[in-house]
Parts: sequence; C-alpha cells; structure tokens
Amino acid sequence: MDEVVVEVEKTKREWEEAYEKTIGHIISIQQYGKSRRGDGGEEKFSLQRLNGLAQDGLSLLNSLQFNLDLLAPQLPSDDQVQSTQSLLETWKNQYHSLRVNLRSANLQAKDNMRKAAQEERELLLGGGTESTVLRRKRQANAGVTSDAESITESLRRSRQLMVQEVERSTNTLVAFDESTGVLKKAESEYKGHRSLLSRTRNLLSTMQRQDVIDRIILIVGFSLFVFAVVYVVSKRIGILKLQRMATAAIKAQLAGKAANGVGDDVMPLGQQFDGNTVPTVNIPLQQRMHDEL
Amino acid sequence: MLPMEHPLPLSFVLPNPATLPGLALGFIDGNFVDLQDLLLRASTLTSNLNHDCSDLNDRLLHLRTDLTKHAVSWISTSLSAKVSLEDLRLNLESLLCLPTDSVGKQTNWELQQVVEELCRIQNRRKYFVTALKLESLVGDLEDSVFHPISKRKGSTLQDLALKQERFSHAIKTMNEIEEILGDVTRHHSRWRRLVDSVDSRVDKSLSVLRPQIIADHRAFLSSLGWPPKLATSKVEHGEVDSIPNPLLLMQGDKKESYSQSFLLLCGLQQHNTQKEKRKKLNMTKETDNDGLWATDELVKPVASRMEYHFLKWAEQPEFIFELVYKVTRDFADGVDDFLQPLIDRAMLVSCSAKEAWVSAMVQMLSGFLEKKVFPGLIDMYKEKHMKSEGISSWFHLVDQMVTFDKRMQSFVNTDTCLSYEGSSTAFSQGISVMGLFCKKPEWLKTWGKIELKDAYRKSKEDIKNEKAWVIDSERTRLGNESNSQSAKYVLSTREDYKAPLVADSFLNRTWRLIDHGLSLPAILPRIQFIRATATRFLWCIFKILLLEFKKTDLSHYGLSEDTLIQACGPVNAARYLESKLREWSDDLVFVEMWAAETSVKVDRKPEVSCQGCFFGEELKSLVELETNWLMEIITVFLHQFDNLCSDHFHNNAVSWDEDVITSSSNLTVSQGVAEALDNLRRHLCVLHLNMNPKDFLDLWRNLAEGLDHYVSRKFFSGEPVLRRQKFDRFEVDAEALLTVLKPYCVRPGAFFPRVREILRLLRMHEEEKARLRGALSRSGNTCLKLFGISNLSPQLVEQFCRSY
Repeated sequence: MDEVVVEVEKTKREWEEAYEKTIGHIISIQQYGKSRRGDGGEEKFSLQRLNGLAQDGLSLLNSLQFNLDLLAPQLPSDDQVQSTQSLLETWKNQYHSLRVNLRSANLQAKDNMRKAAQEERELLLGGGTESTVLRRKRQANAGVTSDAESITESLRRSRQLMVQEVERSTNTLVAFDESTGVLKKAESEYKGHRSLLSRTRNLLSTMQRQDVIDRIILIVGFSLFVFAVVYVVSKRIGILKLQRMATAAIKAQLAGKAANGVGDDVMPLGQQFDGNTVPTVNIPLQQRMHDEL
Repeated sequence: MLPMEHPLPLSFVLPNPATLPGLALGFIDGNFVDLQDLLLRASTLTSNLNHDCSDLNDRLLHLRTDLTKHAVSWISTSLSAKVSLEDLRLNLESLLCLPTDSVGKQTNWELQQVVEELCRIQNRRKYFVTALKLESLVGDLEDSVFHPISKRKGSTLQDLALKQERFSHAIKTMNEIEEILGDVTRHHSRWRRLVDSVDSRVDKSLSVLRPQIIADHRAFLSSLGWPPKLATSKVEHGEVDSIPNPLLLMQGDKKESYSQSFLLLCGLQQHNTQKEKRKKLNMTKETDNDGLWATDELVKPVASRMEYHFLKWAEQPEFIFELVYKVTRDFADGVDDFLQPLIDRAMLVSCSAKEAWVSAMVQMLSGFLEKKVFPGLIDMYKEKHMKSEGISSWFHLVDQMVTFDKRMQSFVNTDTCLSYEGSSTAFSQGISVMGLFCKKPEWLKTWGKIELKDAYRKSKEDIKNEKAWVIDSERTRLGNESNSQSAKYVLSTREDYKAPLVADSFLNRTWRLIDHGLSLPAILPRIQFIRATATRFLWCIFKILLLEFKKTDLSHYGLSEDTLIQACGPVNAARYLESKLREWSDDLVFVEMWAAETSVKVDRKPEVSCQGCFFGEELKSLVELETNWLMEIITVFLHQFDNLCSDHFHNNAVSWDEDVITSSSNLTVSQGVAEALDNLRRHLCVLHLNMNPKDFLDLWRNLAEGLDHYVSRKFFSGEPVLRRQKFDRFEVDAEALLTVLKPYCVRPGAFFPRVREILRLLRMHEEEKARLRGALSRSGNTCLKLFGISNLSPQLVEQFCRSY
C-alpha cells in the first residue's frame, strides 16, 4: 500500500479519536456546576483541568489539520486528492465550531456556578433560623470532615509505615535466603576439600615430628657451647686476679713515697709514674695470654 | 405672715401681664380682683382646672373608642355591600349572554352601561377601602414615632428596651404599608396620588425615626467600649496579642439589647431596599451594592480612629493596608459568629456578615484613598519636575492595592460555610479597593497612560540587550527529535516556536498589564483598561518586530546564512505571539469581556467584532505581518534562483550543440541549475533549523508554487532548438528540482503540478499527441482533464503540440 495513503488513514483515525475526546471535554465543561448539588461529591476534574484538556485536544486537532494539508496533495490519484481536500475543509469547519462551542460551554459553566453559588447563599445566609441551623450543621460537618481527613491522613501514614516495615522484612528474608544459599555452597565446598585437608594433616604431622628432632639437636648443641664458654671464662678470670695484685702493689709503693712529704713536686712525678706503669703492665699480659692460647 | 416671709418681690414670681394672651388675662381678671382673692381662691381654682382636664381626657378617650366602633361598623357594612354588588354584577353579566333582538339590543346596551358603572363604583370602593387601611396604618406609625417622651421609670436598659419595642412596632407598621403600596403600584398604577401622599408621610416619619435608631445604636456601641484599641501594649515573645472584641464580651441583657438594636437597623434597611425596588420598578437600573447599615455603624468609629494613623502614614501606603488588614482579620470572626445569627433572624437573604464587614472596611479605605491620597498623586504627576516621583509612588500604591485585594479575596473565601470555590467572587464588587478606579474614569485613564509608558520604556531596554534576538537552536534541535509525527505541529512553548528571548519578555509585560486590568472588579472598566494599555502595547510590539525585520538585508545579492537566521527571529516571535494571543482569547475571562464588549458595541453599531475574539484585530495584523515577511523571503529566493538560472537558459543552444558534438549518452544536471538548486537547498536547510515548523511549511510550499510557475514559464518561452536533447535535459533538471524538497515531504512532485504535467506531455507518444491536438481543435477546455492536465492553459498545450 502507498506510504502516503497509510499516513492519511492514520491521521484520520487520530482525528476521530481526538475529536470525540474534545467533544467529551466540552460537554463536561458545559455541565460543570450542575451536578454538584445532586451528587454532593467533588467534581471529577476542576474547570481549569477540563479547559486544559480541551485546549490540548484543539492543539492536536490543529496539528492533524496541518498534517493532512501536507499529505493531501501527495496522494497517488486525483480523486483521492480531491476527496481528501474536501475532508480537510470539513475538518476546518468542525475545528471552528469546536472553538465556538468551547467558549459557549465556558460561559455556561460560569453561569451554572454563579447560579449554584447564589442558591447556596440564599439557603445558608439570611434565611431565618433555618439558615442558622443549616450553617451550624455545615460547619459541624466541615469540622467532622476535617477530623476525618486528619484521621485518614494519620491512617495513611501508618499504612505507609507498615508497608515500609513489610518491605524491610521482605528484604531481610531475601537476605536470609541468600545467606542460606551461600552457607550451603560453602558446606559443599568444605566437603569437597576434606581429602585435601587429610593429606595436609599428614604432612603437618611429619613436619611436627621433624620439628621435635630439630629442637633436641639445637638444645644439645647449645649446651656444649655453653660448657666451652664457661671453661674459657674460668681460665681468663685467674689471669685477671694476678693483674689486680700487681696493681695493688704498685699503688702501695707510691703511697710510701708520698708519706715522705716531698710537696708539689711529688704530684707531677706521681702522675708521670702512673702513666708509665700502665703501658708496662699491659704488654706482658697480652704476651702471656697469647702464649696460653 | 406669708408675705413677710417671701424673699423675692412679687414682680419676679408672677409673669408680666403684657405677655399673657387675651383669653388668659380675661380669665384671670374674672377670677381674681385683688391680692386677697389670689390667696383665698387659688387652690380652689387649681382643683377645678384639674377636674376639667380629667373630664376632657375621658371625653377624648371616649371619642376615640366611638371612632373605632364606627369604622368597624362601616367596614362590615361595606363588606356586605361588596358581596351584594358582586352578586349583582355576576347576574348582570350572565344576562348579557342571552340572545338579542331589537328590543334586547337596547336593553343589553343599557345593561352594559349599568355594569360599567357598577365596576367603576366597585373600583372606587376598593380605593376607599385601601385609603382607609393606609390611613389607619400611617396613623399607627405616626403615633409610634411622635409619641411624647415619657419619664424615666427604671434603669437605662429598661428605657432602651421600651424604646426599641416602639421602634420595632413602627418598622413592622412600615413594612405593612410597604406591602400595600407594592400591591397598589403593581395593580393600580393610576392611584399615584395616593401613593405619593402616603410616601411623603412615611418619609416624614422615617426622617424622625432613622436618626433616633442610629443614635441609640451608636450610644449603645459607645457604652460597650466600641471601638476597641487598635493595638495592645502587651508584646509577648515578639507576638502582638490579639485585640479583644467587645462584641464577644457582651452577655445577658446587653446582648439582647444589642440584638434588638441590630434587628431594628436591619429592618430599616430592608424596608428601604423594598421601597427603592418599588420606585425603580419602571426603571431597569442596576442597583448599587449597599453594605449592611449595622456593619457600617461598626466601621465608622473604627475609621475615625484609624484616620489619624492613615494621615500619619500617607507617604507609606503599606502600613495603611497592613493596619486595615489586621483590624479586619482580628474582628471578622467575632462579627461572623455573633452577627450572622442576627442576620438570619432579620431574614436578610444572601447576606453574609463577614462579607459585609470586609466590604465596609474596604469601602472605608477606598474612601480615604479617594479623598486624601490620589488627588495628591495626580497633582504630583501633573507637575513636570515631580513626575517621576509621582509615577513611582503611583506604582507602589497600586501594587499595594492589588496585593491587598488578593489578600482580602482569599480571606473571604476561607469561609468553610460556602463550599463553592470562589463563590464570593461573583458578589465581590464591594470587596475591592480597586473599585476606586471604576468610579473615577479619569484616574483609570491616567493609570493606563502610566502603565503603558513604563512598559514601552522597559521594552526598549529589553531590545538593546545583545541576547534579545538570539534563538537557542541546540535545545530546539533536541526537542525536534522527540516529537512524534502526528504531534509535529503541537507547539506550546517558546522553544517549540524557536522564538527569540525577547518574545517572552514582550508577553510577560503584556500579561502584567492585563493582570492589572483583571484586578478591577467591574467588567467594563476592565475592558477599558486593557484596551488602553495591553492592546496599545501589542501594537508597539508589532512596530518593533517590523523594524527588526527591516534591519535584515534581504536582497538576492549577498544573501547569507546569518541574514536568514536574523530574519527568522521576527517571524518566529510573531508566530509565538499569535499562538499566545489565541490561547488568551479562549480563556474564560477574555470570552466574558469579549461578550460584554460585543453587546456594548451592538447597541452602538451593528458591526460584529472581527475574528470573533478579544484580540481579533491584533491577531489579524500579526497574520498579515507573517504572510508579508514569508512572501518577502520567497521573493528573494526566486530572484536568486532566477539570477543563477538565467545564464543556463541563455546558453541553451551552445550547451546542446556541445552535447550533439560529444554524443554522450550519460547526461548530468546543468551547471547553472545545479548551482541554483544547491543554493536553494542550503538556504532551506538553514531555515528548517531556525524557523518554526508552521511558517517553514508555509514557506516551502509557497516557494514550490513559485518555482513551478517560474520553471513552466521559462520552459514555454524558450526556443525549440533540439527536441530530444531538450526533453532529456529538462527531465533531468526537473528531477533535480524535486530532490530539493525530498527531506520535507514524501512525494515532492505533488507540489509542482505544472512541471509534472509538462513531463507528462513530454513523455506522450506521437499518436497520443495527435489525439490531443484533435481534441483541442474540437472542444477547448474540457478535454484536457481527460488527458490528466488541469493546471496548464489550452493555449500553452496547443503551442507545445505544434512545436514538438
């Protein structure tokens, strides 16, 4: 089938749909304000909303007109072109009448609302004691309604909290299920690793035994080493005693010379002597020790 | 002994004999000869005179009783006479239905005269009965009103209660009188003299009664402590304590007394309303929305107390409005709770205490602004060196007024009793301080001038902005991709129309002017203001757009992309303005204003407003502007195409000779045509990106039509050099021409009908041409459609057939 023909048919279907919807909205606007006293409830849509929907419908119809105006000359045959252009003229007339009807519908709605408001005022204001009673009742109903609305709001809030709690519990359950799965997988993996662990245990036992043997060898070696060290140290302590005895003897001699009372000249001489004594003592000790070793 | 003890001389005690009237003097001379007689006989004379007075009073009461008895007997006799006359009339009317003869005709005529006479007598009797009834009622009324003031018997409240009882009786009597007068006015319009005489006597009584009731009401309010202080001295934690309402503090006898006083005022007002309604029965005149008299009495003391603050804050209107709003809000609940039941008892239908209170406060404020504030602003505005200051003060004050009206409107609408949203709006002419401009047309005109000049000056500043005429094309390009095919032309925002930034600025300023006009409570001043400001501003905008378009150098020499982009700005702005004005015109407020304006104009002249909407003339002008601009762009394109293609057509023979020489079988598009088409395609791409879809569609379709005319004319005006070569060349060029519009439609040939038909003619065989030529020679026009040709004229077709 021809591409243009398909597009034209699609445009026609969209026009019929939009036209019906817009007519419905215009009728709703025209009836606005009449049905409230009978129903006693809220209108389905507000007047601004209905007007917005009607305007959107008119915009879409206008756009579809433009589309058809563009597509009509492109149809394959002249008969189709002429019939589509006559349809376009029909659409333009329908569009214009819709706009006029929308205006009159709005004026009608305004008049309906004004009459309803006037009736309500005559009923509730200045109508004797009946007006007072009705107004008190209306105000009481308004109070009850506001209380009911607040209760409903609190109930809705409670419901929302409970819904959140249920969701949280559901999430917890899901998490638990996932954990159970993970644990089962872990168990199966652990069972698969049993043979490996057994072999590892044998190896560990062998290593432990080897460790004990190594420990014994180390202890014995350390003991022998300690004994050797003690022997050497005992030998060296005897040499040191001899060194101390010589030093004590030299000091005694120096003390005897000082008893003579030489004066200041003795002190420098003493220091010089002490300086000379130390190198003399050191050289023989080193030589002896070397001989011993 | 007595003369010796008297301290004053006799000349001070006794009156001067010259001032006494003659009868009194004669009486005294007849009774007293000298001073001895005065002393001896004075007491006796006093007792005799008192006795005579009591006798006279008794006689007067007796006469009154006799009069009542005689009236009742006369009425009863009159009723029986009425019944007899009614029966007689019925019998005589039945006699008229008898068949007539010569003697009967004479008798019938006489009987008819008798019947007419009896009817006249009956009407006269009705007149007398009505007059007598009215006389008795008016007598009762005058007795109630002109009753002498009695001595004080008890406390003040008891006196007030007795007085209110008398007043209530008087009002009841007046209502009965009003009912009878209403009947008389409706059914017996010729009894005007009776009505006038009764009215004059009732008005005399009212002139005495109304001030008394109002004075008592005011005195009672003063005793209650009304008006209260406007602000308390106690400030706790930054919050000002609410003002105690004396109305809510009343209890017991005081409350009942105030209720009675309130009901008296309501009764007076209701009677006055009915009387005015009766008097205006013949004249169809719109009645003013009077406030509630009792509420006005509450407002007047508050107004006198607030006047001091108003005068102090005359230069700072925000304080004035805030004070009025605060006082109104503080007392409104008390007024509503306490007075609405009283209004219900008074049977004042559709009267709301809260609205009456708010209306009275607003009217008080409006009165103050009218007397004290606006005359100063007008004088300031008229002086040249103070003009700018006056304008700024005016704007500030008007902004405060508009804000105040909106606050009051929302405050009144918060009443939970009335469930209809904005049900008070229909009755809110009194609850609007902007009603000031409805009463003062010259101030409305001045305000319109100020607003228009301010908007124009700000628009000039907007135009000077560098980004005013910039079209943000990136967002537009993204937006285009998201549109579906069927909703391709549903354009609602400025980006959809690719309008420059200045278009939004124009619309915002226009709507600000309209919004100020819509704040007026009455519809005719509303229309007047919007016509004086927004409509004129729109014409200024049109002038600005026209100047902006003329700035672009649209000429076929040196046409560049920047020039085209610059030209798209005004075109898109105009289309955007057009869509917005149509949207506004469909709004309910504008539909009402247009209906009111049309009804006013129909009374003056029978013309119907053009295009059937409020902004009809402006829309017509905008469409004309757009059409002219598009045609100008198309003309430039066609001129450029002509310049580039004329060389090609001039050198036709040379190029075709070359073709013959080379004998090439593969033809390409001619160089000149290719250059022209490429140029055209490039320009169309630029416009496609920068122009709104609707105008672009109009442009390229009209351009196609122009090219179709041009190419067909050039084809037929050329020389028939070589048939086959020209045919092939033309076919290739025509196909190339159609490809220029390929991106914008499915089948471009549909928009080039003449070129398509030329191609069809070129593809015809010899025998078909022969048949066509024969058909043309036989019958001229009608046969062309059989061959599928409907756009070419027969002469051209014949010329074609002869040449090829």
